[in-house]
Amino acid sequence: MSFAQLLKGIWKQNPIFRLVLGMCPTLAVTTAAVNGLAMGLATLFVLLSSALIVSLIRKVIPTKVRIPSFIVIIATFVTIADYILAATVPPIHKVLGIYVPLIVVNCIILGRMEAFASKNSIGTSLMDALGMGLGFTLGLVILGSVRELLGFGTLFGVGLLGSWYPQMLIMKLPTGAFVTLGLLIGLMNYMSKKKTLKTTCHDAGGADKNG
Amino acid sequence: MSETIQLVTVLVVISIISGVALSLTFDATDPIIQQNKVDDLIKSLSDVLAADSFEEVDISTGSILKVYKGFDKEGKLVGLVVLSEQAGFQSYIKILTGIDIKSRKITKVKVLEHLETPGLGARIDEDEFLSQFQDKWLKEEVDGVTSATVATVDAITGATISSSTVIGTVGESLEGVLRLIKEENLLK
Amino acid sequence: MVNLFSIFFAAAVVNNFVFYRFLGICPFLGVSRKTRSAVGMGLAVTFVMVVAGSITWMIQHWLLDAFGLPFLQYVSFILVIASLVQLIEMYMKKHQEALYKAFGIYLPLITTNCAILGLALLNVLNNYNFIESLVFSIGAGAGFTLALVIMSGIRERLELADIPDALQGIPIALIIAGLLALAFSGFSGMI
Repeated sequence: MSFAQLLKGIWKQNPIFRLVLGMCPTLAVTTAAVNGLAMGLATLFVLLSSALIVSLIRKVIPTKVRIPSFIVIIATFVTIADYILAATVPPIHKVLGIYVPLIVVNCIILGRMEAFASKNSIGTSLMDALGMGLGFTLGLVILGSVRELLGFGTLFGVGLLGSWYPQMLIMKLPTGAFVTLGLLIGLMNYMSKKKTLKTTCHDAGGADKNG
Repeated sequence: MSETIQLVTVLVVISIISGVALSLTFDATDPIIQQNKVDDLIKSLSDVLAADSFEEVDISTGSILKVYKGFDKEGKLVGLVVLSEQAGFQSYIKILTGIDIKSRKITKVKVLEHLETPGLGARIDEDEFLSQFQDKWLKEEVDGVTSATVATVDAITGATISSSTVIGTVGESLEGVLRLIKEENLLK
Repeated sequence: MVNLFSIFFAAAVVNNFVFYRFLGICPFLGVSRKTRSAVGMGLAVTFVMVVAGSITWMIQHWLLDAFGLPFLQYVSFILVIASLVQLIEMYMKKHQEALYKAFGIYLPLITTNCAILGLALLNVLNNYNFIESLVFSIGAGAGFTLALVIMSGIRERLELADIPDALQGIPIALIIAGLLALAFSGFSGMI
């Protein structure tokens, strides 16, 4: 049962390609694969720690104040993640910039807390958070890799295409982000023969009903 | 009524715990972050001028933000580094200009920050453009320093504004250095 | 005066929140199918931006900076935004029925709109004084509304076009957004 939870977040309900959530950081930081990876891991950290705490104290939080409580918990961990990044990897922290605090409003996290962590045991909640976080990271790395490869000819900083390759400028610009993501989602749609699950932030957890 | 009290209490407790956690994290990481900034600065300065220690001079006029004096191990003045910032094509461009005090030549120009157009203006941080500044003379006269010393730098094709901003800023840095040298009689 | 205008123009067009800063993408994709809802969402966002931007500015300068509590920035900002949206919604439901019908339903979606938090953070990052931050907020909201309205105009026509199955909905919207971003990048260098 737990393993299925994990896989669900990675493929069937991948936050980026299927649930279409967390778009803002996805488009902004994927100019290079390593930036996508860093953002994904930061989000994963927030997902896991928030899921842990929320699931831990879920019996104590009154329903009426659950959203503000979740928000405080999430924002706290985002701040911690931000400071850790700034202290350990300043160059990456600089590139991610304003999008680290924006993890707070990443629908994925609040959605999972609301629909899952607040209603399930710690173990299940963590598995769910792990799955979603890994799926998100995977999506970011894929998008970042495509843009980096076509835009710079490198992958994770390693030159792959050689110096004859005229860098595709548009991949480094906002346009490249939009178009690449659009095409990737279209590809996923084609491969899974099912259109994206149209979700808004409010039913970020609702997709769960389909399992 | 007691329900409200319960709601408020829960929120207050969570907020307090959050506040404490954050305060602890801040205390633990802030010194490291500040140290990183200092290390970064010294690294950039050393990249531009070969010196063992740097001292900040309190000057800021026009595009010049800060001037640093570079000293060698014996405390002798080796050169000056000017940190300046100017509006480029679509962002503020921050540059460091290093000047050797003895030869009065530019040691190196380095672009620290910019958000110019990728592929065009962004090429101002490439060696091909910046190496042109090396070894340019700092002339005695304050007037005409810009045109005389840096007129021989080629701009990047298709990036006129970004290039000329850097060139102009370097020129202004040189003027500032000249003024400082004269005021403090640094060539004794 | 010129400076205020350039702040407004930069926020609205040159550094458009959607096409340059990638903020507010979720509502941008979700609410841009009909022009009517686009305008409603845009206005709601602009309103919240101005109010939230001002309040967070005050909190930053009069509380966080004054007492040396930079680490409380994200928590306090998002709490303010969330509460603000809640209060506005409650007030509107009761006292401004007509307005509520027009764009009140978009309010709950705005809390998690990264554009609002992004705006609050940018106000602080850019070191604006109070008036400048007001102008920036209005400009940002205007730019967001502009992006939304343009997009809805295109998408309304798209309903009649023959798009491959896999690309329908989100993918084609993103591709169009990309083209619009390209158009907007023509404004760079104006300020």
